[in-house]
Amino acid sequence: MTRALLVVALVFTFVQSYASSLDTIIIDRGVDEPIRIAIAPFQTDVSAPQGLDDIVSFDLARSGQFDPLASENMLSHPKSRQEVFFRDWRILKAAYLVIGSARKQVGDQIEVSFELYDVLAERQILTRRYTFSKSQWRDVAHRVADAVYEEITGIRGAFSTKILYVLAQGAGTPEASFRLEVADSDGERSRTLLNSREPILSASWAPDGKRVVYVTFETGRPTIVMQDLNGTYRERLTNFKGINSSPVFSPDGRKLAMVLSKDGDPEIFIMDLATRKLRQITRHHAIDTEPSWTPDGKGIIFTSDRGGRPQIYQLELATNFLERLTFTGNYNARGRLMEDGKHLVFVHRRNGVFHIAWQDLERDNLQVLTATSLDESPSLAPNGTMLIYATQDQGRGILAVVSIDGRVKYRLPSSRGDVREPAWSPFLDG
Amino acid sequence: MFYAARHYSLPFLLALSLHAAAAWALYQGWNPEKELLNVVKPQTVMASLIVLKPKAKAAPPPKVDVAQKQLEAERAKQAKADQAKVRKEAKSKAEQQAAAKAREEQRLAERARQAQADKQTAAELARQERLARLSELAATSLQQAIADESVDLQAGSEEQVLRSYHAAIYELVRTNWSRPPSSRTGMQARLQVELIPTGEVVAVTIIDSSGNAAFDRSAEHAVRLAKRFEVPQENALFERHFRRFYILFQPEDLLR
Repeated sequence: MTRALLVVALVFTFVQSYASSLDTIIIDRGVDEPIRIAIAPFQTDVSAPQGLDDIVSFDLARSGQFDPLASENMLSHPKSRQEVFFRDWRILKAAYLVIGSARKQVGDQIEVSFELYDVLAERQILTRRYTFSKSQWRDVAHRVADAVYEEITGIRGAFSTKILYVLAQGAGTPEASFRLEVADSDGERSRTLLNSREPILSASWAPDGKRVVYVTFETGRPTIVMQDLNGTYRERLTNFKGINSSPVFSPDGRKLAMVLSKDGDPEIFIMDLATRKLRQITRHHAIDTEPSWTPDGKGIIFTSDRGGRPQIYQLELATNFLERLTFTGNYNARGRLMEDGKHLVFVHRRNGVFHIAWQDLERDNLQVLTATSLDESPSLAPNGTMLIYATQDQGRGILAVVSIDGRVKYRLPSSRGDVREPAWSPFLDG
Repeated sequence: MFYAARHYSLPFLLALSLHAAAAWALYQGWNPEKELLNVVKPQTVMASLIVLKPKAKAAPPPKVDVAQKQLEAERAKQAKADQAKVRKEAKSKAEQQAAAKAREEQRLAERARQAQADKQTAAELARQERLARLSELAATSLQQAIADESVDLQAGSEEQVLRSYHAAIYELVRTNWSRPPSSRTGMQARLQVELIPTGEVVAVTIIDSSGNAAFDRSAEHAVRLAKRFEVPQENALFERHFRRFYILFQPEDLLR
């Protein structure tokens, strides 16, 4: 019996040592090149101004994480699995391939389906089917891009989201006009939510993406207004003496943080949207402004010059525990915590120039993301991979986007005037 | 029975001796497939050789040139001095007599100069010889070093050889690894890689997942994009270390 046990033990140790005797090479570094992907032209019987594959390619390229292959460089345009020859795509160094089709259904319905292949492993990894009305052509393309992006990167795609911004024309002249606009995240399909002769400021989204708040001067002084996207509801929330600014929804959408100077100097208040009751949360003779919420809704991030210079602070709402977050440089403002609660995005002044930067709050390292000057109003995409901000180009306000790793920057074209105060929407379902 | 013993004794003995020979050969460690290790020398060693060689060879020649030039110049100077002396003698004997003392002095000086020149020549020659000897020594010791090194490698400082192959694999996989943005410091995935003796990747299996499918796939892609690795020609070495091995993906350079 003991002998049998000994033999078993011996065999076991032998197997063990055999298994662990395989060499292990440790890879501790990478290069993080954009991933080469091929979006083959979708087979379609629908006439449309732009092919779905074009929109999907452009979306993915914009993320900076993909390097889509131009369709004219493809060796074939497969329509089905039978026509996919992985060798061809490997020659083109494509790691992934998308094929798809869009077909007319009854009425103006269109059925779009696509398949995503892992070229290197030679297998299909995703297939989806959507039915949409023809007016949602671009929406479908963004949905395809979202699905492909999520499958490959492990992060939810944000191509179906929208951006809010203020378009100013003829500012400083008697014909000045200010428009609150909403557009696709790629800047396409913009429409006007509000047209005003007075400036519009600090627009931001409700977490459900159905309402927005902003500041207007329609009463002659700053006023906080809430409205829904389809224009059926609009309400003036505050009209106090002095400053009424920087309204921001809490993550649960029930409260609004804002800055009011009704009692003297600017302080941060929280309004309960159901009861409209105000609660003052800062009490300091210095300026406290630009509030935002921690992702769990239990704290407020704000800018204050109580230390002599504008710096970013965090206030725990339950305990009133106050903590200063930024110590690098003598100007840090408009802080926004990322979804993980550990990274702060803000405006940072370095050598007299305003940049967008982010900081790891645990490891305390600061990274400047933008190389332009006068960068302001950073707003994070809901998936935390990109942020949109306002900057200047030849004296004109434009919007620019930078990836959070700083690798990709692009501008959203604005042919119509000064663009400022961008706000990236939350995920919009449906 | 005896008949059988008689008739088969020769084949029996032959068989026995053959077995004995085989047993002896095995005992002596005879290996029919054994070849000299055809080792690809590690890059680092090659680099140091390239640096050493020209130094040893290039250094001596210019010095020899300089020495020869110096010698020639010396000789030319001497010849000129001699000519001048002959001309002077032919010009006037009276002067010669009158300046007998001076001439004597001059001759003495001349002799001293000659001695000096001779000494210089000798020193130069000695220096040259020493240089030649030195460079020869350098060359032989270099050759010795190379020989030693290859002996080392051939004798199977297997560790070193493996390290150089592993370094090449590391480099190839690293440069093909694009991590997805969802990657975080602390994630790790272990993949088993299977190769055929040409070094071609025939199978990649995720043994320990990072828990993030995108991260796992990026690791798998890094190996598949590499496609083919440099592996040892020597069969046993390949079988032991490269037929199947693990790659552990463990990023340490991510921002988050």
